[in-house]
Amino acid sequence: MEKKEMVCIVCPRGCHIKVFQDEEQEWQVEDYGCKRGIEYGISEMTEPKRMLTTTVKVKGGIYPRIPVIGDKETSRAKLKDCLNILHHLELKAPIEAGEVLIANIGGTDTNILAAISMKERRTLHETQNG
Amino acid sequence: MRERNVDCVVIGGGPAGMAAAIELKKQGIEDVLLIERDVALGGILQQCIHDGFGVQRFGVRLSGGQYAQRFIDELEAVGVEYLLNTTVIEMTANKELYTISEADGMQCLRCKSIILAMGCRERTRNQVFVSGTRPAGVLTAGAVQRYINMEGYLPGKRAVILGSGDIGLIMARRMVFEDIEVEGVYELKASPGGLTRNIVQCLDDYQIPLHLSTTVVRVHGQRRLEGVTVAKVDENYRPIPGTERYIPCDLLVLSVGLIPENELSQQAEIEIDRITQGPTIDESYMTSLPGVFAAGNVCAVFDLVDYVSKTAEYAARGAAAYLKGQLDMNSEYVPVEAGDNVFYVIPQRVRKEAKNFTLPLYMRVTRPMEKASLMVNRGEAQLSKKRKNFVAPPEMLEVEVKVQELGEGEGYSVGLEEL
Repeated sequence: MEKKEMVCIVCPRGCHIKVFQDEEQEWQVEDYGCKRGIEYGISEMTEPKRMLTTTVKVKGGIYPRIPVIGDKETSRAKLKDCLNILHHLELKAPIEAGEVLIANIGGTDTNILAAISMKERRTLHETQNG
Repeated sequence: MRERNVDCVVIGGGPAGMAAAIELKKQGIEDVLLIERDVALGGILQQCIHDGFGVQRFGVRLSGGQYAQRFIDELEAVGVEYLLNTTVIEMTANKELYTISEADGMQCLRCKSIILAMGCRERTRNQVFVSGTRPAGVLTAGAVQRYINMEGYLPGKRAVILGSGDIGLIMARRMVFEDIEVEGVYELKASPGGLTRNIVQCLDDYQIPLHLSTTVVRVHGQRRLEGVTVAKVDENYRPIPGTERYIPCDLLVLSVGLIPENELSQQAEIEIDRITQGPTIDESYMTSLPGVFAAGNVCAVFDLVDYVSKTAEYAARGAAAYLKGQLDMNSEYVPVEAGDNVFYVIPQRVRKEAKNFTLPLYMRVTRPMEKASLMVNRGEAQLSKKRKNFVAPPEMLEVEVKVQELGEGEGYSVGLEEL
């Protein structure tokens, strides 16, 4: 198997690592600077994961969108499906930071959380009167 | 016009302003007022929906909003008074602030002390000399970020990005997520401006090409952007004739750098450092105007928000000491000089008579080094020597030096020696 070259992005050092499968089909990593590079290289070849962050439509909030984030990294291959689900979601303010908006999104085991609290929009009159 | 006396006003409710206001309370300063022009606290973190914030401070990778939320919660808990929708329109050398808002009209705040936490702003098209027409559709990366992430607008269908700074890279991925086609990223320099992590996760993951030593030379379109012409550049950044290429697009995203925001500081005639483009500050983070302190990106543009929060806490401790009469206002200053391989360092000066204090230094290096020794001296005496791995100009270096004895010599110096 051809050795796949990549830059390890775990830390700013940016080691140029090589990842390949040996005769026993075991994953091997070369030119890594530390053990985290082995882990990164293998996961990039087997199931690369990314943190899912996007925004979701919200009604009645001080802003029309609320940022959301996964509680863990999600398989990169499933990101698009997850984004599609979130694209069709519509929420209502108020929302508390950390609230689970969608559990186990698209069967990925990732829970989607509200990244911030979204207050209700109030008119200037309401604001001045407490 | 309403008038009000305040012990300390913090200008700006982003990461610097919130951290400063919280720390002022912790230092026992009760009369604190934070002014924010937006409808909510959080500043630019509100639009930074991606993760990677807070690794230094909290040991976890938070999104910008999550990082801000921790400070908003703490600020509410310690009871900082703040005004939203309120803009400071003038600052005088007498520490008067004129503010304006829909709710309160115009107000004059007479301040015993002020903390500047206005952050930074983006370089615009005018500062990078892109010629051609002036159609709609030429936006800074931060403006695109606010439109998409906060206000729910799509500013175009097919985008070209100029500049490979981190905000531009992050917006490349973000636009792909929102079904905007990203034709490519163009970088004038021969190496990318952003972190490798962002090149991999924001460009490579989505097969977005990065064209180095290439820039946008012309903008086309009358009312709306219709396309841009890009060209390769030589080592002096001059376009090479014959390499021009026309790209149809309706959005040009500029990610060409940040500048500290100091319009107010300049009104009050605060001394600005030509290199950092922020106020010249001392070891208490006080500017040239007694009682006015500077925090975060106002001082110099940081790459980590964790450092922004920290500098704000230094500035708040400085302001608290000033209000308690504990800050020596008569001492002369000695300079902190950027020595070998250091491009700039803040603070730029230290009270000559200062002893028994912590000197928090932040600096940018002039070139990448694998291994280096960072040394801080006062005259001939070495105050600190630390080993640093993988230093590079895009990453601000931090070192805290405990200065116990009253030192000798005319100044401090900071330098790195490659190992």
